[in-house]
Amino acid sequence: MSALVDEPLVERPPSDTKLPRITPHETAEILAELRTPKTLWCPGCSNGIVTRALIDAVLSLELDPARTCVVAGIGCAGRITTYLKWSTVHTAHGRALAVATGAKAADPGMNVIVIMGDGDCIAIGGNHLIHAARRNIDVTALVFNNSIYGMTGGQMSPTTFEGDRSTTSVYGNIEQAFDMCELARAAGATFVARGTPYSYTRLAQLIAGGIAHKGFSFVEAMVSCPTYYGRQNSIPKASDMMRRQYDRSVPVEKFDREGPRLHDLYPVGVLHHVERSEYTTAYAKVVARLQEQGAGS
Amino acid sequence: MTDAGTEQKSTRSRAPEAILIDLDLCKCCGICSELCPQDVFDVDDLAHPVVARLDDCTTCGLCERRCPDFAITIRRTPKAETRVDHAQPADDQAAGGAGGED
Amino acid sequence: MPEPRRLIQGNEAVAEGAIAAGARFFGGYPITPSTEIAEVLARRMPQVGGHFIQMEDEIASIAAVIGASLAGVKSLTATSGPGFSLMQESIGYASMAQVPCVIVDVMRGGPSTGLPTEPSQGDVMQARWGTHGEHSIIALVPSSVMECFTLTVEAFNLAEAYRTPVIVLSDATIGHMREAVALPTPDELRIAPRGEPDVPPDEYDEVMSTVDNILPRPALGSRYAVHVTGLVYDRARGGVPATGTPSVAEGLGRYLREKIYHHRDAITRVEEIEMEDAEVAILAYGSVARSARAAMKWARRQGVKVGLVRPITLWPFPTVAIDHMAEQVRTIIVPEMNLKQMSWEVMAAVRGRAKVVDHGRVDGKLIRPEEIQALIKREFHYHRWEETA
Repeated sequence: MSALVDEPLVERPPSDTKLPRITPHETAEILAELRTPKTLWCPGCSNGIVTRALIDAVLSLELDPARTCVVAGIGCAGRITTYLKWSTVHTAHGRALAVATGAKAADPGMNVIVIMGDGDCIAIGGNHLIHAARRNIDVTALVFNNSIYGMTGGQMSPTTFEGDRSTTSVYGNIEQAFDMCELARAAGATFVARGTPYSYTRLAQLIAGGIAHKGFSFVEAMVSCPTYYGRQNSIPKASDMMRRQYDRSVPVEKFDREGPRLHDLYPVGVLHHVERSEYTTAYAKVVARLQEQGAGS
Repeated sequence: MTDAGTEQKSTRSRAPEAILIDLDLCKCCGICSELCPQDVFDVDDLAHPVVARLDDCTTCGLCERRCPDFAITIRRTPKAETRVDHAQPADDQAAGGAGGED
Repeated sequence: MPEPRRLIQGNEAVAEGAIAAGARFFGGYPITPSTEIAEVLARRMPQVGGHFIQMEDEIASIAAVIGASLAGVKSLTATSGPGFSLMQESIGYASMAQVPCVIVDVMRGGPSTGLPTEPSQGDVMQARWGTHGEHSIIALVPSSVMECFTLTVEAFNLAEAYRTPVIVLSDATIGHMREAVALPTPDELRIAPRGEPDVPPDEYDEVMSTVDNILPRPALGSRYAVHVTGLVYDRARGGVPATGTPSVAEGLGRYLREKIYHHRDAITRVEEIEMEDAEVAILAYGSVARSARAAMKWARRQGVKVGLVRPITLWPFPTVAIDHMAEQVRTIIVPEMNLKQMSWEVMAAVRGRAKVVDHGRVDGKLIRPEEIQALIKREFHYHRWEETA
């Protein structure tokens, strides 16, 4: 271990995690944080619900909106940047975490929240997820996982379940679905959580917990796409898809890790939470040490 | 903002004063009406929700929070204790997706 | 008062130029022959309170540079051909979203893995057109260690003034050579600062920027709550996407071009040596210009009227200088370490008024003065040449 890294690695089981309290705000207060509430998202798309949960989290934490920045990738989720009233950056596909890394490194005092769809995060963006987690840089990744590529018309995603249909898995998907939370945890993320829009307040709490956590936070929201995923997989009604979010989610304490994964059930709640050296803090220590030693410019 | 609710004076203390639905924002997705635990809503022929049984509403707030289009505003009664959002899942560590909403 | 002369490497001079220009963020990935820029900045950035980060690949590097620049910090990356190819998408993003930043490409033999340790000038067209879509770019070409320093400073100034990515096209020879130079001190340099809007947030509007008065964008994480996107956006409506309005798309595309091309006379720089009475000119840039200068001097020693025109700005292409040349000389020799990339541009600007002779090589070897001398000889076949070298 480097001499600079003097914060010990503390394994904290999820049940010890104290999540921030959420005050669900009235719709008028939510609307005040939006440039426009008229979104391009389809009827029944969960994206709007997670957007509200994010706003509830940010307002409950009393973050300074002037010091908050949302960086998002390409896809339906990425369009959140048009709607939120804070500093927002709509990046190239898959590159949100890399852009966020630069922004956070340049201005470590800024609250940086990164919004991605499943394709943006784990297909084209997979490498950047791995390294942002490895660095444990203090940004919060909030992934809208609808297991489909909605913006481009319903193609499969790395998180599409085996057997599911899409426009590019016409005979049923033969690939395994990615567990993004497992990847984030293995790569070094220090706060990993999963929630559903169905359990709204719980999701808002997890998002707030991720934002409040100092280190790389990864929060996966299992959202629904009725238009493409739903219609191609015989579950076209938004309310049915919402119920399925409930049916498939199991609290992490009760989840049988040896049992069937991801095709039918997934654990929700705080899946992983440890504290270890955060990237911008460690870098600042290097700079401070040099200045102490009198290294000139 | 159009008020699509019936403004019946509620006799039960848990119902709000009104449930306001902004028809300009509503995309008729059906989440509010189909997932309401108290079956407060009917739908009109354009699939907009219509507040049909305001008295049955317990002001749980789920329709307002789960509306993806920010179209629902619950005009709550002044009595704050009718709000059910006190119970935070963190207070009960066993709560989660399989234990009923929130 | 300048610093004392010291032997300094071209790549090191680029790094010092960036620091002198006020750059305080470097995000990059090692690749020969640019790696020294990263290594020097890994040491220097923390010393000046800036940020150095080795990203996981070149795509991440340019993305991080964009993020840091949006957060208000002058930022750069450095790479070579293969990494430059990887960066193209985000260079286009920086162009579209008007993000000032500097990309140093130390050219090597290509295409693909090519000749990692040998020079070329194979990326000059890629610097102009590497990213998709109609866009403009500024590219500078150093020809000496001192220019590695001064043109890097200039690159940052241009990036700030025109809110654009700027490319510095070095090559393996210029990057790795060492020359004894006395680098300018900060008070001897003009440094364009990272600007801030001078109106409060409720009065700020992106559309206040015009071609003649390009205003800085506020930083992220400030009260200005900017929206930045790579989609076609409406400058008159806070920069929000406007993909459904053709007039907005046309207006934005033309604005982004005019923002640079309206100022091309101010931006383009060319060095002219002994052109006043030249009958034949050599047009050469980068490391080839050094050989061209030697060949030109050799010809002049024998009374043959040859001049050298050295573009320092490759893009926008210095058409005005070429125009004057075409009126004056009968032949323009264009030696390049590629196969005719810039000579096509020269021919287009010349419009048939002079003969254009191209000379290229792609074997990773420098074009030697003797090669250019042989081409000069052919233009003066009546002359009695006394030296062969």
